[in-house]
Amino acid sequence: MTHPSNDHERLREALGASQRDRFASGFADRAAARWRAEYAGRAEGAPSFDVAVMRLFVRVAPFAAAAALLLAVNNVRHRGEGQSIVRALVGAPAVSGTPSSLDIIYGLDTPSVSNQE
Amino acid sequence: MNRRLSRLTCVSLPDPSDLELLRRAAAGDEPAFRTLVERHETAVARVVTAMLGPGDDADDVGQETFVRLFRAKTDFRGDAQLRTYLTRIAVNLSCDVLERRKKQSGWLRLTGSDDDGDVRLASSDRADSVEDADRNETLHQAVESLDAKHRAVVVLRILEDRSTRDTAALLGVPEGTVMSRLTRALARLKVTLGPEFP
Repeated sequence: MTHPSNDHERLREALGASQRDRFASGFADRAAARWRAEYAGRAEGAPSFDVAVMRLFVRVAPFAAAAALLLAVNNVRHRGEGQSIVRALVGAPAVSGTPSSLDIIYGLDTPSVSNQE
Repeated sequence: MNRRLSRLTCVSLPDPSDLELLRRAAAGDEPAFRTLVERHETAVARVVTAMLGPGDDADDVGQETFVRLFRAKTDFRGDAQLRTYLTRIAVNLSCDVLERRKKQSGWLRLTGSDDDGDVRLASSDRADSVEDADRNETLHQAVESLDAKHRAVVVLRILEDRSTRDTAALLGVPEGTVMSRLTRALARLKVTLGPEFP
């Protein structure tokens, strides 16, 4: 690069070759069509997706909360012997005091059919 | 009566401001949107075609620029020139396309095909002679090899002849970054072109 202005001039020339002052004819029509497609629904009062989801949540949330509360109260009322309130609230079963091993859980200590025969 | 009529016909209403047109377009007024597009098409087209070359990509980015403006209308408060705001959107969208092209060309190189001949052809269709076309072609390819952020600086600073401050504001970077990117871009071109670039 000999002189910055020479470089700039050549670059300007090269980039200028592909530069256009306008887009292809009918650009305003195409842009307006895209704009129309995107905003026609909104202009008619249809809510956007996020607003629709928010509205749905506001409607459903109180019922969901009330149902969860009723279920929890019911669980606490009918809690079993030795079941803590926290476990009853979430509907978890009471834990038995008998220690368990993996062999018992997976039934590994039970005799197989072939052994029985 | 005739006198009054002739006086009325002579009075022309002033063109609505950009903000007024935006407000109307936001209310669904399509002619207002069209007026905005027609008023600022040149500014957007110059930047986008310089960044991407003329073609479908440029057209698509041009359309998206105006739609984005409307989508992001709450960001535009009238304190900046609408043209500047549009240019910023156009540059950002063009950079996205350049990044996408770069990824695609990497993939095409792996698969052994290359399909960007139309851009090269379009870029050289104004050249007066084969020699000029070849020279511009080589330089254009070298500029195309620059990554998006360097190319944006080259387009805005050199082709659009914007000040360093303007360019920095448009790209949302400090002025020092603009200067360093320009220096780096020119250095890369020198490496790519070698003796082709005096």
